[in-house]
Order: sequence, then structure tokens, then C-alpha cells
Amino acid sequence: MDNKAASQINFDYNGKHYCLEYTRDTVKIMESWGFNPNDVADKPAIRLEQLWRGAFLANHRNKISDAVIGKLYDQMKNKAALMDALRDMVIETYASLLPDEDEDDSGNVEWTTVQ
Amino acid sequence: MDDGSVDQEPPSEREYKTLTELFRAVFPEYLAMGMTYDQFWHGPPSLVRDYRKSHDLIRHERNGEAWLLGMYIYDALLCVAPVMRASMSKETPKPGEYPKEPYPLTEKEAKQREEARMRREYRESLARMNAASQRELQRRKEQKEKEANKDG
Repeated sequence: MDNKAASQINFDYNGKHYCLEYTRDTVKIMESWGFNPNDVADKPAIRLEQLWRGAFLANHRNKISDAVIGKLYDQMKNKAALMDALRDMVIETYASLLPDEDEDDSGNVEWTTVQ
Repeated sequence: MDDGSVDQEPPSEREYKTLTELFRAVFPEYLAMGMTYDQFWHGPPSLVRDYRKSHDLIRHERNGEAWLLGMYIYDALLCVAPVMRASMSKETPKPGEYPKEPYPLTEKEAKQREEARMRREYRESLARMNAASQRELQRRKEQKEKEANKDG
């Protein structure tokens, strides 16, 4: 796993700074909405919307409306790359629990997800 | 879903339907490593890697300390051993050798050490063979010189 994957996305809009990131807590909330990282490709419209909305939870929870979140999405350039970056950031929340190649993995948990 | 009880099958043998389930299953391990609730759930996801590495360093350091303590005890026992064997045989028994390094903590470490030992033994046997062939060459050379001197 690449340790240098982006951990945050920062941008300014209308004089306000936004810092998008995921934590395990925000992924937990996203899962309660029905988000599943495995089926981003199968249900792109729903999952990408959840991916985008969930990225605001860590630093902007209850401080921004869904309408503004939607508007910000419309304004973003290069959406495909943006979504790839967001997906990588979600993956990091669980991939970081796996040992790196040079790491002693005896104390770590092996796991699989069920589709 | 995890009911919070601890007497269920270990996390390593379970399958997880959701990431939340996985996070909850591994969370106690990271608490044991010293991570706080906030760090695990609200902190940067990659922080767990640093905790694992730090935990690994601590385990190795403790293992080294235990080894050193064992060495002191071993030496102390050797010091008092002559007094304790007063009525036994006249010859001083040879003590068993204390391990040259701390015990490996994991199978991976044990395998690495075994491989290092095999490489070392291979290099040593190669050196012995080289030395033996050098000696043989030298012996033949000297033999030839002797024969040449005789003929001459």
C-alpha cells in the first residue's frame, strides 16, 4: 500500500477554506447511509454522492448544508480525478490496518470483506 | 454485528460484512498499543501504522531487557554454582551456553535468523573448502618442487 496517498483535499470557495478528509468514525457514519466502498463502480451516482458528502463530515459536520455541498461538487474541476482521490482516502481508513510489506505482521489481524 | 463481548472467535478468523465491524474488531488491539479512542476513530487513518511500529519497537526492547536480565541471573548462578556442588564430583561440570541473542518474538523473525545462520554456515564451509584446496595446491606444488630437485 502506498503510504503517500493523499490524506486530505483542501480548497477555498467564496472566501471559506474547506478541508475534506475521512476518519474511521466518518466511514462508520457513511456506512449507516448505505455506503459500501466495494460498489462505487456498480452504483456510481449514489455512492459518489455519499463519498462526496461524507468527506465533509470530519471537519464541517453541521456547519454546511447539503445544498452547499451539492453546489461545491458542481463547481469542482476534474471530477474523475477528484473521485479517485476520495476513494483512495476512504480505502486508507481500512488499508492502513494491514501491515506494510516491511512490517512484522504477527500481531495484526487478517480480514476479508463479504460482498 | 459485534455485541461487544470479548469471548468470541478471534478477529483473525472472522469475516467482516462492513468496515464498521472491522474497525470495532481491531479497535481493542490499538487501545492496547496505547492509541486513544479519539486517535483511532477521529484521527488520521494512517496513524495506526506508527502505533504498530512503535509497539513493535517496544516489544523488541522488552525482549532485549529480558535477555539481559537472564544473562545477569545466569552469571550469578555460575558464580554460586561451585559452592552448591561441594559434595559432588571433583571435576567442574561444563555449564550450558546462554543464548547469544534474545529469543525471536515472531515466526518471521525466527525464519530470518535461521536463514542468516544458514548463510553464515555456508560462507564458513566455503571458506574452509577454499583453505583446504589452497593447502592441497601448496602441497602438490611443494611435492613437484621436491621431485624436480631430486631429478636435478
